[in-house]
Amino acid sequence: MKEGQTKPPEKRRKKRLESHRLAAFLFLSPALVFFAIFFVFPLVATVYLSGREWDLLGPALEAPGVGFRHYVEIWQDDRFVKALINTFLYVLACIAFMPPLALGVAWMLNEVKVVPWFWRLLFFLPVVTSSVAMSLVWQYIFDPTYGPLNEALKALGLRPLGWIMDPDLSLVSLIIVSLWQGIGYHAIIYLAGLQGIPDDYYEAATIDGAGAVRKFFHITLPLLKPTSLFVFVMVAINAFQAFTPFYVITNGGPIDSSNVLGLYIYKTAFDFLNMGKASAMAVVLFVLVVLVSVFQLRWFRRREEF
Amino acid sequence: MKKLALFVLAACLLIAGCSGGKSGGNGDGGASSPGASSGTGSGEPVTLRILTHWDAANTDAFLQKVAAYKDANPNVTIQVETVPFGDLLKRITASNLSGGGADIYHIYNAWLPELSGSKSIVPAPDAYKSDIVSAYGENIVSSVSYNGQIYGYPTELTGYALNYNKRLFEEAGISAPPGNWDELLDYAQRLTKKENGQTVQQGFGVIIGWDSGVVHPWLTLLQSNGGRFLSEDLSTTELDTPQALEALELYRKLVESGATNPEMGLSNASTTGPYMNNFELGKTAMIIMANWWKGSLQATMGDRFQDVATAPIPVGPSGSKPVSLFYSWLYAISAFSKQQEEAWKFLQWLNSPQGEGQSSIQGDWLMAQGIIPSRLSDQEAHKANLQDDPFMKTYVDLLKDARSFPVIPRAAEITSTLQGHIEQVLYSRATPADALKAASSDIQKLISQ
Repeated sequence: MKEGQTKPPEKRRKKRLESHRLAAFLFLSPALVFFAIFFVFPLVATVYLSGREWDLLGPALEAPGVGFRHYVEIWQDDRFVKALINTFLYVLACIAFMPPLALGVAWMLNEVKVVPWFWRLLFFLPVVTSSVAMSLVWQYIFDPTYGPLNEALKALGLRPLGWIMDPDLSLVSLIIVSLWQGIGYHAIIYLAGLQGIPDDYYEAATIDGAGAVRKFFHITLPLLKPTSLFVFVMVAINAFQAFTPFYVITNGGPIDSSNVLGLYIYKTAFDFLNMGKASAMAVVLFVLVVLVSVFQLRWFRRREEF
Repeated sequence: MKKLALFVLAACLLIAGCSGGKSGGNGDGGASSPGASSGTGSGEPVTLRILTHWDAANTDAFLQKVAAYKDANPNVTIQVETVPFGDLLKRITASNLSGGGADIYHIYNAWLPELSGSKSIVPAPDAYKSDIVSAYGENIVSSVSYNGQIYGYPTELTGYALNYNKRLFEEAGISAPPGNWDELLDYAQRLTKKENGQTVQQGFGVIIGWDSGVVHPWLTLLQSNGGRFLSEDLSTTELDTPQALEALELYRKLVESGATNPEMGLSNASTTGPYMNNFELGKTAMIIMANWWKGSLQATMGDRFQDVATAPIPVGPSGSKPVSLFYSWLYAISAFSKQQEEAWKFLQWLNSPQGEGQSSIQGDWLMAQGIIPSRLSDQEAHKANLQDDPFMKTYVDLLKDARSFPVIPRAAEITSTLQGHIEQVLYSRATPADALKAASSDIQKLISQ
């Protein structure tokens, strides 16, 4: 080979790397297009609309600009503040109850040896059942006058409750529905985590004389930390975005006692035709979800360091 | 490489942005509807799509009745698209965003400010305007008008009256419905039954969770007490009046006496639900409700429907006569429709008398559902039925003095706000005075925006 016809090895390596990058990019492009259309564009559009006075009926691009007015307005709106408080209470309740209950169910599913598939199916069924249909069933269950739940309480000699029609109990009722619907999904994730823990650890601990409780706190829980991180983050994100049961079962009532941000954003946009204000609320919700998720990631990472 | 990635991302955003921008615009009305491509010239096939909230049975009945239009106009096909009431406005906004949708919208008149302001619907052309003005009462024409423009053919009138269960009244030894609030409170208490501290029968029912279901009945009480919701020019609230305070005090007394149990008032997204079931099953003795529920009551109660009777709104201490509330619906034409002339022609045919002294097809169809037709000639043609039917007669009689729910911008948010404050009193979370003060302030802010 003549000198000058061959490329230096560095150049060849760079070219190969570039072609690999191009190939990788081409493989990723469908996902990137999807991401751009269904995430980036709506996000940018929401931020844009939060500064506009748009009623959803006229052209969005011609809607007059109002600057940050909607961001000021929402904090003066008692219903938004109430929805925000309800959302936080709901998220906290989900974070407090969902992971431990899901772990408990996963532990039972892991231990049960009699037709294990049946028990897994039983707990997973609520996850794959239509949320609207199940919400209607729960609305009937909670009905203070005809609901089977109050009939059961009466049969036990207890006082029937107002449930979804009682402003003090409506949010609690919806938390119960959410736990019922979400536990199966998170239990399956925990079950995968449990099955990934080698038996050797438990055998060694048994030889060392550790009991079941010790094994759980010193082997199971620490080794489930990555699974728990995923579960906690997903529970929080899903709870912040809760909508269907709230819309179908109580529609946020009575007197906004079960109104949450997702529902109030929807009502403001599509019932009150105030897309600008709804978009400002959606941006606030987005920031909250990011903040809580980052906090959870850091909290878990710090605990991992100890 | 980085430049290429940026370029592709920018292209994606541009594509997405363009589609979004297009969907947001409706200024030129240039988007096509499925029927548009078929053209509107005579003889060319035309499909007119009507968007409404009727149920399947009523839709079938409507399509059977309008089949005659196809005989006279073989090129025109009528299609009906139905969605639940709660989704109707959302479907219209979605249609606007996509630049398509139905040719004819069947809409609630409270939406007129928003739909007309955004030019989603078109005003009636002069020829049809004169037909509407001459064929309907002044208050009805006014209820389908906004800013001096008439936006369509009025369809139905919905008013409110006191509904009560005669059997429960007889059992309680009460011979006639209450005519005033003292009687209302007294009868409601006598009609209430409790077992082990639980209400098994309430004297007077209220609706919870559905904005109009909460607000409209209370406004009939306010108006029958000499009060008003808004001033004549619709610029200020009149909730800070003694009449309004008395009307909300009535609710407080009903709840505190145990004659009204808000927990029995649950409604669902289809504006039905347990509040209706409780009346049908004889667990609610009295309720103020709109005439449209007659068909549902008949279907569910069967023979027991004969126990249901209607009466004027009981008059308050500061009132002199029952003043009910009504709202109307109308057929309006979408600004996106490429077949507007065909659509207006169809609406005129649908709403015109079928012969001398006869009802229109629309009037016949409404009467079959127990709804009062708004066209004067339809009311005349069905006079015997409207007067003979004791259930409907009360509603028809009340319409003479009834007031229309105000047609103002932000009506949905205003109604929802007032609903919240009324529910506060029903749940004993606020005193009537505090609730009215807050409602007045919140609603005034919305009106002023």
